[in-house]
Order: sequence, then C-alpha cells, then structure tokens
Amino acid sequence: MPAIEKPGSLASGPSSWNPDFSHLYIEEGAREYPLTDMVRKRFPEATIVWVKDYRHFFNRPGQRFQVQKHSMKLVLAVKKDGYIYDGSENAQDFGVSNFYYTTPLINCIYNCDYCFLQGMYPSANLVLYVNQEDLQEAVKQVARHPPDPKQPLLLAVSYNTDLLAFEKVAPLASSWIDATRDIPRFLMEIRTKSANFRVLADLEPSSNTILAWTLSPQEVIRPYEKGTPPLSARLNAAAKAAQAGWKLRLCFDPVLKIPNWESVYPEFINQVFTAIPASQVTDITIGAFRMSASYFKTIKRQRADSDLFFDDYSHQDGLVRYKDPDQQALVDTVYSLCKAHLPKDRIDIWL
Amino acid sequence: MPTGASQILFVTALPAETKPLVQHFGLKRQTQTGKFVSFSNAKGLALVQTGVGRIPAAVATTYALQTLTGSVQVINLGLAGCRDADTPIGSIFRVNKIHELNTGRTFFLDMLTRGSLPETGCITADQPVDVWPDTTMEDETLCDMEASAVLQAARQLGPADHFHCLKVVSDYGLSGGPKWMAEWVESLLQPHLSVLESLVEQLALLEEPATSTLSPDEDHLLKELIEYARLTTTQANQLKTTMVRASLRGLELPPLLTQTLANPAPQHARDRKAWLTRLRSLLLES
Ligand code: SF4
Repeated sequence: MPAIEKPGSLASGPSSWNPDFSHLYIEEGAREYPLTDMVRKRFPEATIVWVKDYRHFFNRPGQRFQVQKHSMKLVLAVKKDGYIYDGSENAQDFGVSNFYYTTPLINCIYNCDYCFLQGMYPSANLVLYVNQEDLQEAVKQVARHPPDPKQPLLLAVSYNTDLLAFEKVAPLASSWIDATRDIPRFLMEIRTKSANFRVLADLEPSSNTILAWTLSPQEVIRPYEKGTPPLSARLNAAAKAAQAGWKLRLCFDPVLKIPNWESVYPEFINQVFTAIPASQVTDITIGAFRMSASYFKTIKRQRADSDLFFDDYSHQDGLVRYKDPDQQALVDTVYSLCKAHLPKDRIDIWL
Repeated sequence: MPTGASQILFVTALPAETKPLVQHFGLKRQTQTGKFVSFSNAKGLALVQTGVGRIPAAVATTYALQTLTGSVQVINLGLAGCRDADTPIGSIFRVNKIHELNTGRTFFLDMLTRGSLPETGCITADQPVDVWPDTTMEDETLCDMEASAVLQAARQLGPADHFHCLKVVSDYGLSGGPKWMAEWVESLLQPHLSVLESLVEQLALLEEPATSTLSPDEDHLLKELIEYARLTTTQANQLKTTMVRASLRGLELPPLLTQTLANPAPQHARDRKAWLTRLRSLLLES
C-alpha cells in the first residue's frame, strides 16, 4: 500500500503536503515485532526514522495538531505500561462498574472538530503499539478477577482512536475480536465512524464484541466530522454488520446544536431506522456535546476555523457543555425519537 | 517568489555558505545589525550568518527571528561531514532528526511537505567528529556543528513545523581532509540552489492556520459596537464570540452590523442587555 494520499487542503495545491504515513517512526525496541514488519511491508516507500523512545518524537513542544493533520505520520512503539485503564468514572458504561478502556492505537485518521484528542495529545501523529499481545493479556487478567465479580467486564478498545478505520493499515480490530472471543462475562465495544465493515466480514461474529457506529446527520458530518464517511455509507456498514449477526450499538453522540436542529434530528433518526431495523439494534447511546474544560481551552486556541468553539457554553465542574435548557432539550429530543423504536432500558443517556 | 503567508529565514554558518544564497536570491546586506551579518530582500527572504558552533548559531538565529514579524519558516543550510564514504561529496540531504552529541538529546523535525531530496539524520557536535560515537543511530549519517542550536532557537520562537534543515556533504570526517576554500564550498552548494528555491516557494505558500478570528473590518465593527452600546467587558466578549460564530458560519457581518449602528443606541443597562440579546439572536439566526 503506498502512503495514503489525501485530497489537498492547502493553498498551494494537494502536492505540497506529504501523504499520510509518508514516514514511519520506529522505536528501536519495536524493530523485531511482527506488526512492525507487517506495517513496513504495507508502506514500502515510507521513510523510516529510528527512534530510541517514541515519546521524544510524539511529545515534542511546539507541535501544531491541525497542521500535522495535513500529513500524519505513523509511530510504531512498544507500550511499556498502562495496558488497561479503569474508565468507570468518565465513560458511558450502561451502569456497569467493571468498565475499562485500552489504547492499542492512539490518535485517529479522521479529524472531527469536536474530537477531544486534539486537546489530549500534543501531536496528531498516530502511535501503533506493536505489542498488542501484552495489552490483550492484561485485559484477560483483569477479566479473570474483575472488581465486581457479579458484573460483566466492559472494555472500550476504540477509545482514543477509530480502530476500524485503521483496519486496512493494521488489523487491530480483528485481532482484538479474536483475542477476547472466549473471555467469560465480557463485552468489548469497537466504536467507529468508518464504513469499513468489509474488513470484518470474514470473521465469525463474536458475542463478546459490540460494534458501535457513531451516527450524525449529514448536516453535522459535512462541517464537523472531516474525513469521515457520509451517513449513508455508515448506515450501510452498520446494517450489514447487524445482518451478519453482530451486536450493534448506535451512538448519537455528540448531538450538536446546529441551525434547525429541531427538524434535522427527527429526519435523521427516521433515516437511521429506515436503513436499520430497530429489531437488529442492541442498544443506543445518546449524548449532547460536552468536553473537559481544559481540552476545550487547548483546542479553541488552535481552532479559529470552527464555529463549534464559539457557542455560548456553560463552564461548570471542569466541563464545557451547552447551557440548559439547550443541553437537556437536545438529549430529550433525540431520546424521545429513539424511544419510539427501542425500549427505554436499551437507551443510555450521557448529559 | 510568490507572496505567501510565511517569511523565510535562511541560517548559514560560513561566509562561503552565505554567498551563493545572497547571489541567487538577490539578498542585500543589512546595516545596523551590529555584529550580526544579515541579509534580506523585498520578497520576504532573510538570511543570518551565524559563525561556527552551537552558541553563535543559537544567538544569531534568535536575533534574526526577533527582527522579523509574523510567521517565519527557518531553513538551516550548510555543509556536513558524512559517515558513509560511499555518499558522494556534494550530495544534499533533507534532515529529519538531529542528535545533539553534547546533551544526548534528539530533536525531530516535522516532515510535512513533499520533496524529492533524500532524508537522513544529523548529529551536531562541538568538534568535527572523526570516529562516529556508539550512541549514534544507523540513520544518523551526517555531522555538523550548528543544526541542533538553530533548531532550538527556532522552536523557542515558533512552531515545530517551521524549522527545516538541508545539509550538503563536504567530507568524511577529519581524516577525509576537506579543502575549506571559499570557492570549493560555494561550488558544493551551487548545484542545489534550484532545489532550495522550490522549497522556499513551497513553504512561502503554505497557508497558516487562522489565528485571528475576525477580519480587520469585522474587528473594527466590533469595536464600534462596543463603544456605541457601551458594553461591559463580559458583554463585549459575548458579542465577539457570537460574531465569530456567525462569521464562521458564512454570514456577511458588515451589512447587518452597519445597519444596527444606524439605529439609536441603547441608553440604560437594561436596554443594553436586551439590545445585545436581540443582536446575538439576529446574528445566529440570519
Ligand atoms: S472519529 Fe472519533 S477519534 Fe476520530 S477524530 Fe472523530 S471523534 Fe476523534
């Protein structure tokens, strides 16, 4: 696979930026891993830059996230610690206390205006950990002795990235699905905006995996979810996944207060359930736009181009969100629309 | 050179590295720069000649950057020793990382723009190296005496992606014995001036991300409105945020705001608040 060409987003034309993954930054310690080998073969023309510790490259001061988005690089590194994180405090968990997340890949090939990764990481380059087995083993260990043995263990594996969108570069989603297939009392969420279900089509559906599609009206996708597939393509992929027997979650998150949202969202929900029969949907999550205040501040400094950062928000308890009654109204509207299709106990709300 | 968003600052160490650039780009010597040797032209190109070594390089780069305003792309160009005797003298490389021998730190460059030059890593040493140190990685094939310092100075004053480094192979270490004649140095650089010119054109055209959120006209109108309605600081900020939002959504602000200014101004605090609420709704709903 040649490095990924992107349509031009530059005054001087598309040819001025290097394509994505024109360079592979490889930690010395990652050299011998099969995943390193696989990625090098996928990008035979990439320039290899050897790195002692990937953080020297990734954490440099003065990087500009949005400028780097024009030509993202791929880092291959060995994850040394932090194989699995307790996420029970800050993620949607359907009321389950054994909620964890892991980061097999950090950063994302897409570029959503509202993405918190812009505030979290100093760099837009992607880091692929080549020792996936170590992360998977850590998950299995926690699953063997979960803090609350009566509850299943929930794992978000696509928390700081879009794993499925990356599957053509490295088959991480497939690897995680297979690695966790037999863990008892376990459910892993792979959340995506990708239309790339094809890459999983040959896999036997796993009852331990739920494929979660983030869906937004095209009126949100066009201005705010740059580089992502259109709604119709996502719906098509999600419908195929459900037909193939995968558990399917629909995520209406973030719901944005766009012009005419009161009419846009009903039409959108209608479109969703026309494409995907409600009987094939396992559950739904709904959340209005919200972001940690410190990420919001960092991102706003870099995003003079997005009106999303210039709304009239409430800043409370370290969180930025729409002021009430808007926040509540956005969620309530989408919730009542969803209630017409799915029972309440299968709809989770995040305010 | 086309006019673009960024100015270019060349940083060289030796007079013989400076001369071909001065001639090629039509740079003029700047007077009143004290001990610093610097040049510029009317097209947004500048050059500072630092002298040899890390400290002079850092000081002169810092000086030059402080005399320039706006967005500046720094290009360090110079000669370097090469560890690979099969690489022909006179070969040019674009440097993608710099290992500072003295401190053991490695600095990486953002390789964002497309180019045809081969890439490599460079080590910056305080003396010419003859025996390559063990700490050097396999892709660090060049050695110079300034690059890490120019990079650090540039990064103090600008974003990481505004530093670029090109090195031309002059020797293979002490035992290689370069002939450091000015004409010889110039002859090594001369063949690469067209490549450099392409890079300059490419960098000068890169669009900088928007930093100012209102256009000068819009900003002027905002100031007028603040004065006209005697808004408090909080109200002024609210109005600015709404104007930015409306402007980013593609609304032509001037006609609407000019029309607002033609009406009588609110007199009391209560009227001001209502006036502001009305104006903000108008901006968001238009
Ligand atoms: S798809 Fe998700 S992770 Fe990727 S940019 Fe969008 S919000 Fe961020």
